Amino acid sequence: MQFLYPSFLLLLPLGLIPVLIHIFTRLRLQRRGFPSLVLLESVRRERWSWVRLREILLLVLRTLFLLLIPLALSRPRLESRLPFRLGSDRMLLILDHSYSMAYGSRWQLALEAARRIIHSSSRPMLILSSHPDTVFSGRHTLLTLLDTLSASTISPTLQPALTRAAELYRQTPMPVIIITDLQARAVPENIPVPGGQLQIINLGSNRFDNAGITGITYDRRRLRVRIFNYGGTPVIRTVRLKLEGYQEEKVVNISARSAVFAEFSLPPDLRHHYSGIVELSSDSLLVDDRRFFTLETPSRVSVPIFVSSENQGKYLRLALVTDTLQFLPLLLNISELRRTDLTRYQAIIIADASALRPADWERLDFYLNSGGSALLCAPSLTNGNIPLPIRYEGPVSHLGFITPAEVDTTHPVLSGLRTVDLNAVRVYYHSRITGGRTLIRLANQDPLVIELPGKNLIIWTFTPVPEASDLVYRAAFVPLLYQTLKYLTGINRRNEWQTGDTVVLTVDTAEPFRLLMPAGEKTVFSEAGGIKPVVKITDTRLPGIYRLENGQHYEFAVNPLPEEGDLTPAPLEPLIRNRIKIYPPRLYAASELTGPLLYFAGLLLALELLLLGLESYRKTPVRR
Amino acid sequence: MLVNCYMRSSGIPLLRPELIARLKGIDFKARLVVEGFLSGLHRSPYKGFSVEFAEYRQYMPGDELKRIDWRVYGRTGRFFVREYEEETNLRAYLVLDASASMDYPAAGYTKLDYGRWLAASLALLLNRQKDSTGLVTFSAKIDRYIPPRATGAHLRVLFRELENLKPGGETDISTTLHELAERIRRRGLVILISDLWDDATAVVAALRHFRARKHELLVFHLFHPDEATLGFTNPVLLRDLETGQEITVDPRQIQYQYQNRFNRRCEYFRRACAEARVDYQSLSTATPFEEALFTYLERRRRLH
Repeated sequence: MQFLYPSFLLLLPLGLIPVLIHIFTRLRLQRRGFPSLVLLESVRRERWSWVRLREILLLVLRTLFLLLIPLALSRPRLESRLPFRLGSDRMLLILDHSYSMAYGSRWQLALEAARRIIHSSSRPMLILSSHPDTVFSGRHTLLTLLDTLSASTISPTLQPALTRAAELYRQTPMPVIIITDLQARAVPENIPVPGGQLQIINLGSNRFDNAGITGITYDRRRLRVRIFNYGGTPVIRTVRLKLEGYQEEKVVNISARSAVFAEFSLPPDLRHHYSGIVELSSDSLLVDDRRFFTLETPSRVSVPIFVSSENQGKYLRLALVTDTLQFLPLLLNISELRRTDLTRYQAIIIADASALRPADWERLDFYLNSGGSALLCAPSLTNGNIPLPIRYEGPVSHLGFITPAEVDTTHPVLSGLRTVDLNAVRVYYHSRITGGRTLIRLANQDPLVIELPGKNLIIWTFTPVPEASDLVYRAAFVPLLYQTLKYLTGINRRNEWQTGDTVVLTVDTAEPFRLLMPAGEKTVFSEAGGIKPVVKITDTRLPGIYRLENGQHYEFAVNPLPEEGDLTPAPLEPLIRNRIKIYPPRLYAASELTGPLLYFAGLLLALELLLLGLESYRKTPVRR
Repeated sequence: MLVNCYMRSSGIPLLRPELIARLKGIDFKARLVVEGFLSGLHRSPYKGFSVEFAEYRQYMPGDELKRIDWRVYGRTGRFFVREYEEETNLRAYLVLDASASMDYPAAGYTKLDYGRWLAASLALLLNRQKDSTGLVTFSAKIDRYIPPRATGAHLRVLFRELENLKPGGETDISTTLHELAERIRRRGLVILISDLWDDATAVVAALRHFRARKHELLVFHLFHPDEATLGFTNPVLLRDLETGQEITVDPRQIQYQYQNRFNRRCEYFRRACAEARVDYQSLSTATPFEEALFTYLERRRRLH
């Protein structure tokens, strides 16, 4: 317990006054004769218990009252066990502002703790984990800020704020306190301890129940919603798809710490453009219980396939015509490349890159730089003519065959494909090309599929013919080709972003755009961004559908980071070993006792008056 | 005779000259029938030749002829004899409680002083009426018994006795009164001056004993205001003046109940005395003695 005005405690001996008066009265009793004690004895016998009780009660009440008044005036506080003293000078508070703090009552507890810390310091400073560069100071400012602050929808880690705190500590040493739920993903491995004076008010717990939507994928008019149950017990949730004029629900049963998929068939009349929400029946953390999405599914995308012989494009064409709703393959001789306006196409396929002349490479490069994309099948190349950041090291033939050893299934091109399906593919010959990002690597470490991210280019180091590989016969061939083309055709139209991201959209015209977003509406301007102008949108703190309008129509969804929904706390042992003091929030739930003490004193006074009044009432004769 | 009335007790005059002067011409009559040897103010149970007409009685052989009322004979033609109520002198007993409880308060005049003055005043009054006056003082038993006489010398004896009276001992009113009731054979006037601190039922029973013996009984119940109100402001250690027992009390906490009980006790005496045809008078020693005495005498005069 601490006292704001401890000098008032010197008045505590006042509480002895009733006791002293009592003792003094007893000692200085007047002794006198009385004619007869007969009546007195009988009255005293009858009233003895009540008189004694009343006497003791009054003595206790008066003593307590006189003790409570100076105690209340000294402004006592049941303070937390934080090492800083009440009224200490400087103090730096870091408030975890991620959306996991909105779980249950965590945010309210965090605000209460923050307010108490701010009240206890004469010069408090505050950093929000979401904006570590901004340091708020001044008690009034901070309290006003806390009044308006709510848990965000973004997912910052603690590292930037701690780094900033370390900088501030170097300038002026002061206690640093973090109010956080110590979520495992947010706590850095080697947490910096500024000056060895780091305290954490831990709002996290191992016992939580939360499920959230972690992703939405689209495939052939089917929407797949991934739901993850982060909690330790199985849960049943209702998943609801909401589109304009359309709604569908499904109930899913999710085991502990596992994921399930809920599939929705999109209605045909909306098949080209879908924009909506998938919602999960609410739990203690609402932010990850809904996810916005926007999908563009053009009716048919014409994809020219440039071949040097008809056989080279046969399997590609057959694969693409299986779903006529999406791609329209056009088989063209590679000599047509020079006469074709490539910019009309979102993507092209060159089935045999070895047939490209230097002028064709230039055209291809121009096309790629203009925003186009291409799938290049390169069984062999000629060094020196390729204007791409790759290196051709010659053809590779095998006596038998070679199979893929590594598959990067995290890449959208390969997502949904099983490694075992690709591992069985036999490759008889291919070219050895280095550079770019390898998506599939053969057993001899040669790349089989390469991406050149800056060029919107995917390179297959083989030709999709049975002589080069039996992939064309494999079940994985069609999905691989489709996903490659879908990736390439949509590569400039990223339609999902995270809250807090700076969204960069390539637009066709350098004009002002009207931006419609959950936070309101505003005008944004495009700026030069390479071949095409770009629009940068920084205010993406709220999840929702964002729409950019100006004749043209661009739409994207902004969602919170799904992983933030995993409330699993970081292990405390390493932190404790690092001499970081951790306090539970409830221990901190302390307050100034002046109010309760004064209330109690008033109660005592009322009780005393009641006792005295009761006595007077008993003495009042009844009028008949 | 009056010179002796100035004898002082405890520095306070027993009877002041003004009081003596005021008592002149005041009669103190017995309300009930009392027996005496001399003719006086009081009604006697024996009818004879006196001034107060009593009734007519039919003439009987042997009656004196001079007692026949001829006027009645003239109107009725029958012989009636006049009978007169014989007036007699009174045998009064002043019974004064001299127990230790009467020695209150310590400062100023005590209840005993008050009772002493009262007894002296009544003795003077009765003596002037030629009534025989006796004095009985008691505490746990009869301490002093002075038989009634009507002489001036006897009055001096009474005054001396009153003046020399010392309080002390425990009270046993009921036993004492029973004993006294048995001792007084001829019916007369018994004036009890006491604080009545004894078992109330026993006291009333003793008073009834007197009434059963055809005595007229007059009770002066003396009390100090402290006894009635327990009017102390601070906690106090009280010592029983008779038994020496001590108790600590905070008067403020039991005052109300004590007052109630004291009033109930007085009321009990009042009712019991009224039922037994005993003249009961409670007197607070806070009331100036002369005022209290003359108020009482006036009230009594009206009753006759």
